[in-house]
This record gives sequence, C-alpha cells and structure tokens, in this order.
Amino acid sequence: MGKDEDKPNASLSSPPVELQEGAQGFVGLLQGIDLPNLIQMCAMNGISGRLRIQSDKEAGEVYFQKGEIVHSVCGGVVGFESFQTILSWKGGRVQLDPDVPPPEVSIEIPWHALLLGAMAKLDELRDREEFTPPPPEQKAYQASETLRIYHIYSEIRGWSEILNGFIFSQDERKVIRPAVVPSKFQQWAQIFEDLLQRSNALRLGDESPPLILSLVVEKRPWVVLSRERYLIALETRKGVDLRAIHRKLMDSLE
Amino acid sequence: MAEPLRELLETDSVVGAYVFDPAGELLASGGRQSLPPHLDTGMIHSFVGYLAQEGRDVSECVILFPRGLLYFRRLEERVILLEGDAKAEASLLRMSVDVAHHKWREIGIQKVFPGKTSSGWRRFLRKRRGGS
Repeated sequence: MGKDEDKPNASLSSPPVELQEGAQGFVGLLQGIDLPNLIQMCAMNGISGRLRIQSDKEAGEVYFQKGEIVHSVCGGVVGFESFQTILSWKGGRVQLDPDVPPPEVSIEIPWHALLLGAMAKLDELRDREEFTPPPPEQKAYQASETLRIYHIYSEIRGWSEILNGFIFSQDERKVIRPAVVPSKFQQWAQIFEDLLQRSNALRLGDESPPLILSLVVEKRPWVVLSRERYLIALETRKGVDLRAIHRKLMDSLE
Repeated sequence: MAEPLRELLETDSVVGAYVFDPAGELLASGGRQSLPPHLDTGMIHSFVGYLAQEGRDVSECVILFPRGLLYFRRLEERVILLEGDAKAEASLLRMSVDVAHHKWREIGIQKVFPGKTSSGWRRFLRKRRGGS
C-alpha cells in the first residue's frame, strides 16, 4: 500500500511548522478538531496542497491533489504507514499550504478508503496494546465509526431520491454535516430527535419497533433515523416509497 | 354531520382514524370510546402532545412499522391519526385527509371535532382560583 523506509524522498520538504502570521492557506492548533476530521474536510473540499503537521516530538506532511491524498511522509517513512503514524498524533500544529505539489506519489487509494483503513488499523493496534480508553464523558465514539457514518452519508446524499440532509451528533448536540449548516437544521434537529425518541416508544400490535420516521417540515418531506449516537436526516423527493427508501438505507448502513 | 371519520375509515388500508386536541386528548375515534388496546394510549398521547405543541414546523409524521404505519397530521387546532395496514401508502392516506379536511374546513374543524368541555366542578374550581 505504501513505500517504506529511508527512500531519498522520505524526508520533510520543509522545516517543522512554525505559526506564520499572514501565511497563505491556514495555520492552526489541533484543538477542538481531531486530525482525521481535518483531513476529511480537506479531502471533501477538493483541496490541492500540503498539510504540515507538527506534534510535540515529530513532524509530518500529507499531500492532497484535488481532494485525494497522494503522499504522506514522517520520520523517514512515506506512504500508508506514515499516514497512519500521523493520524495517531493527539495534538500539535497544522499548516495548509495550497497548491504545493507532492514530491512523489506514495498513496494511490481513494481518500475515504485510506482514512477508514488507517483508523481501523489504529483501533486494532490500540486494542492490542491494551489501549486504555478515555473516560466515558470523553469517549463519545471511535473516530472510525464517525468516518463510517460520514462516508455512508456522503454516499446516500448522491442518491436521486435525496435532495438534502444533515447529521446531528447526539453527544456534541450539534449538526456536524454539512460543514456549513443552515440555521434551521440546528433547530429542526432537536425536534426530529424528540419525535424520533417518542416514535421509537410506539408499537403497532406486536413488539416490532418502527422501521423509519418520516416528517413533513415546511412542506419538505424528510426521513429520520439514528445510528450509534448520530441522527441522520434526509430530505427526500415528494412521493417516494418509504418502504423502498428504508430497504435501501438498511442496505447501505449494514 | 354524520360520523365525520366514516369516509376515512372506508379508505383502502385504513384500519383506524382518531382525532386529538393539542393536549393529546382523544376527541373522536370513529365510533369507538377509546384507542384500541394495541395502541399505547400514553405513548400516543405523548407523541400527539409534542407534535401539536412543540413540533410547530412539522405538519405531518409517518411512522413506518413492519406490518403497518401510523400517519399523524396537524389540522389547525387538531391532530388526526390514521392507522394503516401493511399495504397502506402514506401518499394515499395524505390525499384522503386532504379531501376530508377540505370538507371539515367549510364547517370549521373545531365544530366538527369540538373540544371536551370541563365538568361543572372543574369550571367552578377554575373560576374560584382565577376569579377571587
């Protein structure tokens, strides 16, 4: 998947990140957002350029071309392994330099598959090392599960029956997708969540729980479901067959 | 007006029709005295109350089950609930309610489905609490 160890190009193209006032692109601290999310935002926004990451002890670079991750380097290693190492860093500084081309291509798989693969590998390593989970209030959900939900959501948004949508994090109490959130979505998310909870308590003659909740808000039809600690709301075309949509959604989610 | 829910109850796949006030109180049930035992009165009450009072932007809800569906629709100061069987389609139920609502609107929905009047004792107590 990646090229390893001591290649001539397995070194950083520039010194570790210094916060530079007025630099093009952006410079920031990795606080309040985790690195997988930041990388995903770069990918989803079709960024081309270099993302430099400086942790407490190490530095690394990830290169994007039109949103695809094409190269990664840190600690003398390039490709998937370096990408996975960078993802494991817990904090530090980042700088995005738009349009800096990669010195080479060391990664050739789609960004979402790369992220999912790296996150799954990290989870596995942490389990093996008897990784101590953070306290319950911080635990929330595994980053790989978040990415899985994001990936499924972006796939569903491509369906012809779906016109719009959002993901609401029930732990963070906010809409986390799309990146730019119409104010109404935040307001509706709370109502959708309350109605979904109440609908889940209803039964119809047997013990089977509801399959799906559909709502009409301001004449726009939505379907709402929850997965893990996320509420997924999807605006559908008028007159869609709810049972068919439910089947399709279940196929995607499972 | 003859039983106002009769036509809805004759619609294909409709097995029950109920009308509630904004507090979730049952006002009409197609000749029945109460909700059928397979519908949990407390849960329906809670859902209707929330829909009528908090979910103001939401005009209708469909809850789909493996063997049927529940179709809730806000109608001015009332909420109607249709229970559909496994073949029921929300779009057909929506159209049936559109037609019924058109007829009821001419009379006034609060006249078709009047609210429950308080008992004499309740009225008396309310007057004393607020009036003295």
